[in-house]
Amino acid sequence: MTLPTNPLREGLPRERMPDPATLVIFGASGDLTRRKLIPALFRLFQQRHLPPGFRVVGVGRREMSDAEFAAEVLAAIGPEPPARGDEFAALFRYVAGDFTHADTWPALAARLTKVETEANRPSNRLFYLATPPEAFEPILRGLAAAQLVAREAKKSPWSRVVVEKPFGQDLESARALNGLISGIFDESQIFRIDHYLGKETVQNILVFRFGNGIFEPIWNRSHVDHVQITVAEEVGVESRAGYYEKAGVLRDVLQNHLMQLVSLVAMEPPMPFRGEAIRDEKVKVIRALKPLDPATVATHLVRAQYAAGSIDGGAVPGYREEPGVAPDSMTESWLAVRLEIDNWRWAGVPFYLRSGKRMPRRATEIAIQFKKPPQQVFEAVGPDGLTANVLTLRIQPDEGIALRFGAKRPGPDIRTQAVKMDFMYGSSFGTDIPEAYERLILDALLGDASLFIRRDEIEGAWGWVQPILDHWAAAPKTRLPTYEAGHWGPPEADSWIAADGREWRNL
Amino acid sequence: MAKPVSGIPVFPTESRSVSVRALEEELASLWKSVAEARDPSGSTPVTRAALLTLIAVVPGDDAAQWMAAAVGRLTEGTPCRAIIVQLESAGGVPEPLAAFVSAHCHRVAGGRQVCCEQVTIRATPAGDAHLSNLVLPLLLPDLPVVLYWPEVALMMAPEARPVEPARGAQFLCDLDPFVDQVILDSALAAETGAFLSRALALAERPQGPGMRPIDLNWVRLLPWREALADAVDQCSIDPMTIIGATIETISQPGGSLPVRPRLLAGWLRERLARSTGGAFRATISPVAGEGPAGRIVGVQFDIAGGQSMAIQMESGALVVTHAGGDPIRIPRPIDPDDDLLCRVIERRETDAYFVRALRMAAADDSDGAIDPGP
Repeated sequence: MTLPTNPLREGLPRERMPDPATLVIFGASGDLTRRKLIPALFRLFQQRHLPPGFRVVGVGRREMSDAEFAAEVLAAIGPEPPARGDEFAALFRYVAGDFTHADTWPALAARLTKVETEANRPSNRLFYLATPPEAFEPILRGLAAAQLVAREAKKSPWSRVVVEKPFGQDLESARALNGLISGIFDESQIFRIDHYLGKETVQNILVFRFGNGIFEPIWNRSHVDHVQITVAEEVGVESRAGYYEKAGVLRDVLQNHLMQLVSLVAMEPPMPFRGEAIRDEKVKVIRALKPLDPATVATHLVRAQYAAGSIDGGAVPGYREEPGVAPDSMTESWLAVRLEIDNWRWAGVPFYLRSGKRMPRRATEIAIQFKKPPQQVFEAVGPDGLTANVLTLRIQPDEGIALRFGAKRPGPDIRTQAVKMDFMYGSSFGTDIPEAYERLILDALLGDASLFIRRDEIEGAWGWVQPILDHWAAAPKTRLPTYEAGHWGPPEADSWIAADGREWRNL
Repeated sequence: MAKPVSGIPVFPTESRSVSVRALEEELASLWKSVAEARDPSGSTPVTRAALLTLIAVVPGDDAAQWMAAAVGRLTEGTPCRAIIVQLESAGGVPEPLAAFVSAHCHRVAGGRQVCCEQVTIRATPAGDAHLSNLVLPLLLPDLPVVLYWPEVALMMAPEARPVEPARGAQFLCDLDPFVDQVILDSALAAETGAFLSRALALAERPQGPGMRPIDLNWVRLLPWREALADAVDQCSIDPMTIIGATIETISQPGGSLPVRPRLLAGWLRERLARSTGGAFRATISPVAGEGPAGRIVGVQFDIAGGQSMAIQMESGALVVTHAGGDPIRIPRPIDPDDDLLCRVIERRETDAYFVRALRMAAADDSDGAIDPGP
């Protein structure tokens, strides 16, 4: 049944209200569900963004009753039961089952029918694959076999699927995964999630660029010397060695988060500013990336592993000494890449991307380094004097924007010094910044895919990094450069960028 | 004396006869005090932030204290410079104009301390003529100006110009070109018809410099508007089939119908008459009960085919009854006025739906759609 648009809803703060639906979470007893999905759902519940009759059906291997699952839900939203916590937990149901067992699917189908009948509403279903990627295939095949998916991209009843990264291990596996999903869901029903796109500060990149008149005219090769994008983590591999050994920074961060940031920084203004137009412009950036020549790929990057060092005053082991990591592991825990965008706006402007673990602190930022004035007409003070203008978009933490520029030092003579003009979200907007998953889950319920990744974007990004993987496979090494834990990267990376006449920013 | 009550620490300075220059010096001194009083470790820098200037014109000490508390709340989410103008009766203070400055400080993520300024001005009628010259130079340049002056609409002539002899009329006239939004409160209006027509005239002024009104009473209706929208969705009712609504409201015997139910009726008509092709009618039914006049206690929708849906307010929740089914409770906390004020200032957008509802409500007298009841 399709209801007409509710005219009473227009103009309300909650103007966008999803259709009544059931969220089916595969991997319901897992870490992602507990740490991210349930708290995000609770915030949506508190803000009354969830539709009437909304229910969650969790599916997991662990045997659990509805009541036990509800207790886990309550535990996930706070050490003390918050107001309306019980009411929220009552929305959850649980189905225990192995995704590879045939009898799991009829049980799930029966439970969904029961939930939907009780709520007296259509079978709108959002399937959330919060599982390791190995489970994607049995889940997708199980959904199809049990005929739980409404294949057509119709208004109601609808079916959608949210897929967590990693979307494949390389170009070939990404294509295979996309092929599998596309056999069951229409592309308009597929929501590939990269939580970076749900971050307010990432969305603000577009507002900053296209909502202000002064930056876009200088946002090009004529004024920008280079761009540095950093995703630094303070933590090591922790308990994720099993996953990380197969992934490394390239698969964990470069192919997805960093590529998303590149496309948002470099894209042209989408018209209109929504949905497919935004995704089209992002894809154009990915397509314009200058392909890496297999013969010279090594000159475009530096990879490394952290060695033992100290973080926050405490000693930490090196990557190869971490539990679960092979002593002769060749997985990179640090990676820097230089890419170029072969289009009119960015021709000749290098983008330096770096990411790693056990860096001095957690920080994600985009730094637009502008060209220096053509002549130095003023005397500078100190080493910071008269450096180039830098516009920094801080994604996390200390979310905000800063601009470095030169100013005259007070005194009788003309001497300049670099100063920083700083905007901080926390200072200007006292409200809490919503978690990325809140926005993304709500958008998926609403059917708005603007902040999700399209198939061509995923495969384009894999296509660009594939020569790196091929090169590493073709020319194996036994040792990688190292950097002491708590440092910004290996010395090799400093000399690598210095060869271009540039240097890394110290965040 | 008014003083900020939330936001710590607070640094009030002495109330004194003022000039703009003296106030600016006081503000500079205030920031120095705040910086010196920060965490002795020096690890929590003080940030001065402002998104707008808020001018609040209030009568007397009680209103000024309420406003100062509201400013404290507001600055947690919307840093601003607040100028509270307290209109005193003659003889209330020795000087025609007196002022003091203070700060509201809050810790934000990362331990940073964000502080906002408050300038409180006390004016006797003898000082009214000098208010504009004192306040206008204190507006932060290049940022929006929001005016909270609940009685403004009633000070307006039908052509939406401030009129004498209302107190502060000249000040209002001087502020008008600099103010982006004025927050009214129709709950204070004794003559609802006059309020509606004058507020509408203010809202419908030609585009250009000058304040645009928003009514706090309209914002108080938000829980009802949300609840009615939710109820229609929750009961899967086709909005095209809603042909009428009866709004039950507390009303004083012999008094005119308050603005709040009239705005709700106007909104329902504007929203639903379109979808029903003009067949929709809204009726206001006065009832006896506890609470202030204008409080809405229930709404009943008449649905084509003889059905109906009733929504009643019951202790923090709205209870929806439809088609003989079990009642559905929709939790709907009622926010206090200072929260509502903060929300209006934070959002600051022009609410086109308010103007449309106002237009409908103002027109209701002429078409007789509202039944004034027995």
